[in-house]
Amino acid sequence: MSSRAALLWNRRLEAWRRQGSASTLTRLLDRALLALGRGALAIDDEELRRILRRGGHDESGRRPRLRLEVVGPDGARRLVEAGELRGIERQVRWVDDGAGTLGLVGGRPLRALQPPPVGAQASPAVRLQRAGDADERLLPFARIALVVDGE
Amino acid sequence: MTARGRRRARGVTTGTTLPSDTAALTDVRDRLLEAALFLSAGEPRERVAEPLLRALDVIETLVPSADRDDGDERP
Repeated sequence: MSSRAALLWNRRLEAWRRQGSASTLTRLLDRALLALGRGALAIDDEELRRILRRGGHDESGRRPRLRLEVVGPDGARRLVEAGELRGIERQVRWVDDGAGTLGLVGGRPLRALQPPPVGAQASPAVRLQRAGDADERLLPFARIALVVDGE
Repeated sequence: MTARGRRRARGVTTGTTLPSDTAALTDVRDRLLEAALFLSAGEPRERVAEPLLRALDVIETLVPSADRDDGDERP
């Protein structure tokens, strides 16, 4: 985003905050989805779009429980609770410190929950922080998807 | 050169997704996934907005400015 556009966005965000509007998030979501749709850059997952557009609620007003399905480089599937996710990283650089594999995220070393792809110096991973864990950990993935409970 | 200019230079019209756009689109999708999961986890609004703004940063580079509805609407 250009600096001017970023400035406009920040001003809008601040204005919405000052007004105490409950629709700040909805407006942002609408904005993102509108831009995606107009540019024919739509994401495929209609469920995701519906949930985002409704600010996290489904048609009946309930907040569906979402999880991230992570398919590892070895093909193993794991479901990650929404509250554990800290971020999705596309380029994690892997190093071995002798005690195991470390992934570097923005220069910050984080332990890997599972080994990265064999021979890979960099690969995608999700950053997770489990309840009771002081530190974030990395889970390498080959593919990720949103999973809505009950479907 | 602006994103639109770059697209013109490549002879690309709106609605065409180039292979070179794939990484950017994947990034946008990742940020939307983050936002959805933060929503589901009941994170504060600002936390949810963060990945959305990052997604918009990427969208800005993909969508020609004239095709975006980003006029001077008031919040």
